[in-house]
Amino acid sequence: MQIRLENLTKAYDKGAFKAVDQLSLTFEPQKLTVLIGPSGCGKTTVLKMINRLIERTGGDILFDGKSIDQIDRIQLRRQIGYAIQNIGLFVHMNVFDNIAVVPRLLKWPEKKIKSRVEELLELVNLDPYVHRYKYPAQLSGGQKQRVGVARSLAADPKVILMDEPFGAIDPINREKLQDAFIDIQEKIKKTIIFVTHDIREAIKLGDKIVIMDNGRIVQYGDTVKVVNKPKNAFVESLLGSDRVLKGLEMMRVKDNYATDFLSINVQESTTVGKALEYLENKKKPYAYVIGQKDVLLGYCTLEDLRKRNFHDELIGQIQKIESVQPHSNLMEAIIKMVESGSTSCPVVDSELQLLGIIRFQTLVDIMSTYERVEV
Amino acid sequence: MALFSYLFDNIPYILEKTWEHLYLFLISWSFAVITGIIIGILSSRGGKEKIGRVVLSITGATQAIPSTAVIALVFIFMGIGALPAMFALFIYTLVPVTFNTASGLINCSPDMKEAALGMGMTKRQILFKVELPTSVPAIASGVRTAAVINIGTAAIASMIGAGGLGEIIFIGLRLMDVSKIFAGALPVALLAISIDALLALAERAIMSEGLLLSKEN
Repeated sequence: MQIRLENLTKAYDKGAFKAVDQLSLTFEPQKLTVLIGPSGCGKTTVLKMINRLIERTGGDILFDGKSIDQIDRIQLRRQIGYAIQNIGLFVHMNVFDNIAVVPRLLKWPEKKIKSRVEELLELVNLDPYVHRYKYPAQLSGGQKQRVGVARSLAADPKVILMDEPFGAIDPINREKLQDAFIDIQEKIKKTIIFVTHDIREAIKLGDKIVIMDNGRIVQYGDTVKVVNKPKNAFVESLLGSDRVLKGLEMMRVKDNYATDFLSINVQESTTVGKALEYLENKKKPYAYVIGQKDVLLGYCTLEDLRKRNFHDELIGQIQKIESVQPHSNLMEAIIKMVESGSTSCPVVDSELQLLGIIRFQTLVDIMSTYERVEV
Repeated sequence: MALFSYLFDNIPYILEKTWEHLYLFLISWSFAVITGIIIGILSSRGGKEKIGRVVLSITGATQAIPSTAVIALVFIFMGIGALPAMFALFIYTLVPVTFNTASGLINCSPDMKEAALGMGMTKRQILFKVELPTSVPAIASGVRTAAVINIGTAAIASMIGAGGLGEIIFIGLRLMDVSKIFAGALPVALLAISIDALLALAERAIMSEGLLLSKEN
């Protein structure tokens, strides 16, 4: 569903104060758009005007070209998912009933609701058989938030509004929820409008980013472009001096790894001498060692192997190495490199099969493309 | 054994008075519970929060008026008999029910209400599916307090000729007959305790387990 804001305005005190001022914007279908700005910039007001929790005072909101005034308020809200910072789970209902609220309002048959709830719990990584009859009081903060997300997806809405949904979670669990949420959005491809004041979260989650100040849009565009090319000093300061590093956080390993790595397929009979000969032939200082089904076992270096006995089995001389997965971001790759004191990091899939390599030089090249704003 | 002598010698009479007492209680309390919950709901509706606060402070203050005074006032305007007594009990019982209903509803978590509204519940659905169920502990405690107060106050209502166990107590007081006072007071106490226990069971049956758990945390 395409949502278009046309000169959207919310004035208070008979126009003396405009929380949102003549804002025009088209939200791209199936993309996650983040609204961000300092508190009081009007981002939450915009969000709440879309499901009419706040009534606009001017302009229009169009759903696939249809004015919001032509849609019944209650029906509209049932078709739009809504998740808020404090979740607002119904404490007197168990997980199942909480998620089933909107489907029941829409009078879905109970059988369909049951399978939908199970599907959603699995989607948000909660075991349906363990959690569906628990009450909110029996869940941890992160679990509650997952249920909140599942609830907002319950009736399969095309649009989901999220108002700082991970804001009240501790940093470690917030990271986990964000990662899980990225995977979820990859599967469901909903039009999501996401309000946050956390720039890291915005860069990490947003396909597109809307930077707001004083009820107006300062910059709107693809997150990558906004981070690379801040329009003015306000945007640059909002992004922070470490925006280059933040930019790495939104880029995935899968789009940036190389496959020209050197690997040795080890068998029980493989000796140190054979490996040495191979490395010397290739003129490389090290190689990854893989076992059956290409599973990464570690690596071996020329320097280290030279100190060993030629006839030793290579399998006993393999050094452990940290790896990243395709959905990891480039920041995680850097951290792994720093931790292992290496200038590269292997990329493996969920079965630990070696897929490729990510090199420090690639990251440096990416960072050098970032532009500075002239002040 | 002198204490129990009157009680054991006059069981049919005491049962009759107990029944009268229960009757006074049941009628006045039932009406008060229904009316109190309705007033509580009305005064807590959106946009009427100010009225709600006023109702809360009035009902709160009314609780400080002694029950004897309420009965005396009703007697002045309505005379004697069971009906004025029930009216006085009704007024006096209304207070805790209204107070607790309104405060339970007003204190319902704003996050839950926002989520409910945002998900497309109508005002009525929010009331019946969210606000009332989460207010069960508050309302139930008002209803139980009301019952206990009502049964106790009904004993005093005998002063204006309502009948009930109070009659035995007042006769006993006048005659300085401890056994008689006891024969009236014991059934009143037992009545109050057993009604409260019954209501506690009903509360547990209605209240969601989720609320119980969230109260423990």
